[in-house]
Amino acid sequence: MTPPLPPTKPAPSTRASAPVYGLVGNPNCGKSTLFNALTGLKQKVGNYPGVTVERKIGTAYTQHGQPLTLIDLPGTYSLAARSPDEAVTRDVLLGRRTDTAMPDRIVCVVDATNLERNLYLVHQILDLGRPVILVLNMIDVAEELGMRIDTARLEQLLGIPVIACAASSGRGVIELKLTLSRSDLPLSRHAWGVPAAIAPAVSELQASLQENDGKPPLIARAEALLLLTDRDSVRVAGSTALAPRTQEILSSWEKRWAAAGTDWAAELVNARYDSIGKLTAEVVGQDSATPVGPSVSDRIDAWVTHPVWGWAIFGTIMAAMFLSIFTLAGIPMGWIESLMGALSTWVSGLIPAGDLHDLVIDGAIAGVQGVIIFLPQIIILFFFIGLLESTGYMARAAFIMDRMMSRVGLNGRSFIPLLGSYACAIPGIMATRTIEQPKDRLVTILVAPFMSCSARLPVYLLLIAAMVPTSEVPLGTKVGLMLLMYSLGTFGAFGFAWFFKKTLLRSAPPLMIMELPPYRLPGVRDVAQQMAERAGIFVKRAGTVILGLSIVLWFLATYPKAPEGTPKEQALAHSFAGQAGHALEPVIAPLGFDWRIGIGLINSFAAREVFNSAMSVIFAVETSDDEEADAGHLRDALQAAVRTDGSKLFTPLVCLNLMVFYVFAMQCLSTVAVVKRETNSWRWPLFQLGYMTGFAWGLCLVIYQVGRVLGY
Amino acid sequence: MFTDWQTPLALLVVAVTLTLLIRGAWKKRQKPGCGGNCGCPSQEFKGRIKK
Repeated sequence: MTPPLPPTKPAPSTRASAPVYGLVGNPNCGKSTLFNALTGLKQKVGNYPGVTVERKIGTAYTQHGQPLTLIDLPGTYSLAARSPDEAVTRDVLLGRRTDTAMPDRIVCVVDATNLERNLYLVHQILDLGRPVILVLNMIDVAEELGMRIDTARLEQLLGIPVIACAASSGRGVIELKLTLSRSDLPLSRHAWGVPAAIAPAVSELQASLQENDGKPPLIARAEALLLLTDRDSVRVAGSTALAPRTQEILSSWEKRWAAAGTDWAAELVNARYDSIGKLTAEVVGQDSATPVGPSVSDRIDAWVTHPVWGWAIFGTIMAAMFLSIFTLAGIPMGWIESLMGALSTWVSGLIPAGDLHDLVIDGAIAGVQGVIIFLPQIIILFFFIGLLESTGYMARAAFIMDRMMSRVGLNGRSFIPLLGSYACAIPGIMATRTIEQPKDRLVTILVAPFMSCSARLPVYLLLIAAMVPTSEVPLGTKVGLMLLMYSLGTFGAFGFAWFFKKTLLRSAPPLMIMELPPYRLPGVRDVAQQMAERAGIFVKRAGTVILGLSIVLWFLATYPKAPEGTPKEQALAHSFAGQAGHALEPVIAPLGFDWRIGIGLINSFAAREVFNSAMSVIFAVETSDDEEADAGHLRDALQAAVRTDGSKLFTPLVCLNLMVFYVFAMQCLSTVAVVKRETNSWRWPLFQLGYMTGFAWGLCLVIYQVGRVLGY
Repeated sequence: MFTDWQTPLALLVVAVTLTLLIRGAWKKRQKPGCGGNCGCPSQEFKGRIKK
């Protein structure tokens, strides 16, 4: 049975000015690139109320300067939502959300290289009876693959504007803007056959949705079709519930079909795919000159995703990254050190000896220098991350990790937030919103902070430098130590994920279908811009938060002042920071840490890299009477530091233990706050704080005590 | 003698810094998230390089 055709007359714009467009599409179809190309920096990013799904709204301008509002909706493969962000897309398009109006018009972005799969969502959206513009994005890639898409015929068959576009190069964007500014966008003429067994249910549900839920006729029909495939399993805050009568009708039909053995959902899905198959057969052709067979990407993937070679390549890339961090950063680090030294000398000449002098030199400059000196390493790290993302390798890394993830009860979908956590746990935790199963999402949130973030890098670098003298130890040892720290965090995350999936958050292991984008040449401008942005953020952070904390730390390490003539170490012990360090010492002494390290650990809760600032402030305070040590580097100061019994404080065992503590301990208040927001409770962040820090303490206790027994 | 004027000035700098840090933390509490301060890329740029 074929449902009645929707009207074909032009749809009047529902608003006199600034029509609202919803931008929808499958994940990885280039929707966000197009959104950025249309709106530039005129974007407002927030959350949908009550649900932690990002809402991006931007303003685009037509060729005549008229403003248009664009809502970038989360990517989804169909309106049958499986995760909170997909549910938001579905609810906005169906007008279920009270906080977001239904868009006047919809821009469907599809990946031209995967037209058949992408058209499933378009097919569902055309049922909504709203004016739709179809954008065939990545048309350049499709052409390179020898695909010929007859856009004019597609436009004719669907009855809506179809724009061929390559958002990354700007091709087709002007045509799209011209289409967006049209006031007479037509409604689709597409028709498809709803299976006869399902059609009466669609009609009955449509009538109830119109009558009891107040839906317009076409939206009611689209929602009826969706209810019969989606079963409305994922609901999020802000989404209005269905009327009881509609629920009753749905349940009665489901019971009837179940008794008759009718797989109603599969029948509907197959009917849609039949319709899409006919459409694509008519508009998509393959250039006969193009050789058929595996593409370049496929040939590379045969190696990169190989069960053995894939891991070897992954390990080589990681080793190359850390080797570059150690070898290439030396010269610029020297420049920064000289610059800070010159600044220190200049300020010393301006301010005579006294508290203000000490605050500026030993507090502000020393504290900031302890962090800013690692800027070159941060830039190199993000150069590699940008390069791997830009070429498409990151998706392959997730793919090879999927095998390991499945053994711990998670899938590659969880690895993408974990990969993001190498930069910072906060965006990683926010990226878990795409995980369908709530328990899997929670497990991923609980283990994400184990991945070594960029704030840990300066701490590792300082401790490795203090642990192994440059001249005596081969570079490979340092690279190996760094790889060990990153691996410890990664395997720790996997181990705890496995444990939680077996105990607290038991659930069936999920399946993952993942799309590997084709390899691309890295976008030099994008990678450079990313590096510049990261460097800017790092410098800004060093110049604001780290500077502020260094000044406060100097105060805590100086006041209350000990009587005149007190030795420096006793004066530090007398200070607020010293007292706090001493209070913590009984807990950390079995790990080989003394009260001065305790001060660093306490301060790391504000930001992990403040450990370096704390060490700079503490050891500058301690050695300010000692000309030689004053002139030395922080690394030398740590290597020279001794305990009260005269033994070395930063032995290789203590340095290693401290790094292990930083790998596993939860020392980031911002992450605690974000976990609280994402889980909507204090229970899970407090649990996370307790189990991570407790595990770090226990493991470090074992390492130190065993190390001592073995004579280290 | 120099210490006399340097000590209150140093304490004033500390007090102002502490106030600014608390104010920043309070503002962040009202708008939680990394706020671009954690080293992660801005959302718009992240979108550009990933898609």
